[in-house]
Amino acid sequence: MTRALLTLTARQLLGRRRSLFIVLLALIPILVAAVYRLAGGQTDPLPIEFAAGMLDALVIATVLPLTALVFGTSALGAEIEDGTAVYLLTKPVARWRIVLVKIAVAAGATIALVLPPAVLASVIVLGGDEAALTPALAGAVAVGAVVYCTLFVALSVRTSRALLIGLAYVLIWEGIVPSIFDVTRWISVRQYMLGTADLISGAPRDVLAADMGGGSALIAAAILTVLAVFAATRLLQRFEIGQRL
Amino acid sequence: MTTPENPTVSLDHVSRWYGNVVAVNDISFDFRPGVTGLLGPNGAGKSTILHLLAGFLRPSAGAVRVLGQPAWGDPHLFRRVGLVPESEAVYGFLSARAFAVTSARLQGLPDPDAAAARAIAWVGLEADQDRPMKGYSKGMRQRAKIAAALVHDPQVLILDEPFNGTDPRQRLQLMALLREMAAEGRTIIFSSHILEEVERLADEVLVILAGQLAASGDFQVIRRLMTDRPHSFSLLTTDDRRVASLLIERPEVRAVTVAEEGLEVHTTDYAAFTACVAPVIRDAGVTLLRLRPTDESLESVFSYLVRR
Repeated sequence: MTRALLTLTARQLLGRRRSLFIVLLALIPILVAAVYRLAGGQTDPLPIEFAAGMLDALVIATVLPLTALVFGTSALGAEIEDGTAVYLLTKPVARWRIVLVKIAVAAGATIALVLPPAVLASVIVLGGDEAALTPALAGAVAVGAVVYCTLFVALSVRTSRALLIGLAYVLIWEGIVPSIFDVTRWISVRQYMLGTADLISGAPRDVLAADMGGGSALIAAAILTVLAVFAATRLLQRFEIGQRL
Repeated sequence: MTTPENPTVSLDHVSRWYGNVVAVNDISFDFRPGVTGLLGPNGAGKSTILHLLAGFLRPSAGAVRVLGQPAWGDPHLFRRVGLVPESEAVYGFLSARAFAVTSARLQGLPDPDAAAARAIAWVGLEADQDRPMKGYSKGMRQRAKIAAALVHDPQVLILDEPFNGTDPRQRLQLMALLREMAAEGRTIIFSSHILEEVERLADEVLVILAGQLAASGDFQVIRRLMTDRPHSFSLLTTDDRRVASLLIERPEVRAVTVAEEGLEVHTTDYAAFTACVAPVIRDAGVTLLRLRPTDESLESVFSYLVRR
């Protein structure tokens, strides 16, 4: 049952045209790293400084949330929008199972698309000098993908404008608000990712610098994820066909 | 356990409203094994009733029970209930066979391939079962949807406008299949806005108008009510006044009105009037230019039933 749900979701998610856009988006860090390398910029900024800016501003703050946004809102939301969700919801499958599978597929696809180009880009910039960066980056991307996808799956069950609202969330809440209000880092997925990278400790502190401790970041990420799973399940249990199907 | 005396599905004073709009208003009805048709014009509330029966909508008032359980909020009921939605949407990248196999897997059936093959054969889609559904005609999609809903051999099958897009041969085939399933003791509930579909298939009928139950029961009784009601015709002849004086003397004609263009004739006997009107006009040496019924829409038929 779960395998059928996984296969169906993966085929539906990756077969969409917007997935092609995401592939192109995920390749941008490689392009930026290659340009840096070809420009011969080895001193200003230093490779480590350039890698810091690239991974934080481009991968963690932009490519990953946007990829998670597209996959997270499509995994279940697209089925609700196009009317095919009715075939899923008329099966004796527990709603929590549907939610978890949708999150797993969306997060898996996000990690698969974002992580390899990010690792490759950092290798291009650093020339393999910072090999220990990879596990930290992988941990950060995994945490970010799971939390973001969970939030966006829940949002897509709640509203047909999930993509728009999610975009506003990424740009405003994750991008602008934490720089104004320090306390909001506790509910910032970006900070959870940086904290996770910090915890894995392979990352030099000035590459993926966190404003919160790794342990706190993981606990906060886990709490937010569980709450979002619970909300998505509850929303799906109370989903009425006339609402959007 | 349900018996022929016990309803398999029941609506008990069910209402459903959206804000100030009442979609379904205080409907009670017991569905038993056999075929029951929901008949009504588009927008009458048929789909809302079917969605209430399928547990996809929570009633605002009253209770909906399926196989003894409340319909709302219990996905496990779908082990014994199948739903064919009206929406044409399907997973276009899947073939009909893959769609049925996926449905069987999601139902947790022990042999999904065999169950899918049986359902595909039921709807007669074997020849095209391996093509992606995005290339299917409307009727083929409809049959693929029905196959997916039948794959677990449900005790209750709910179909929303199931014959949309099917050609006459496919329609007869599906009707035969549904009757066969009903004869084996299943409860088949379907909606249609086409009188003939309901007439050919349903043992019992619910006539729905503006969210209300206009009539229910044996189809033949309701059909008679529909046929025996007063009818109106618009006539245009080369001598309207002469024809008016002749028709008003006929026992089956209740009233004749001279309209701006032609005549409005009201009759209480549809069959007798349509049999006599042409000979009467011809024998008077007048030419009939136009004859058409003015109140044959389903809405007018249902309005009549509601007024009764």
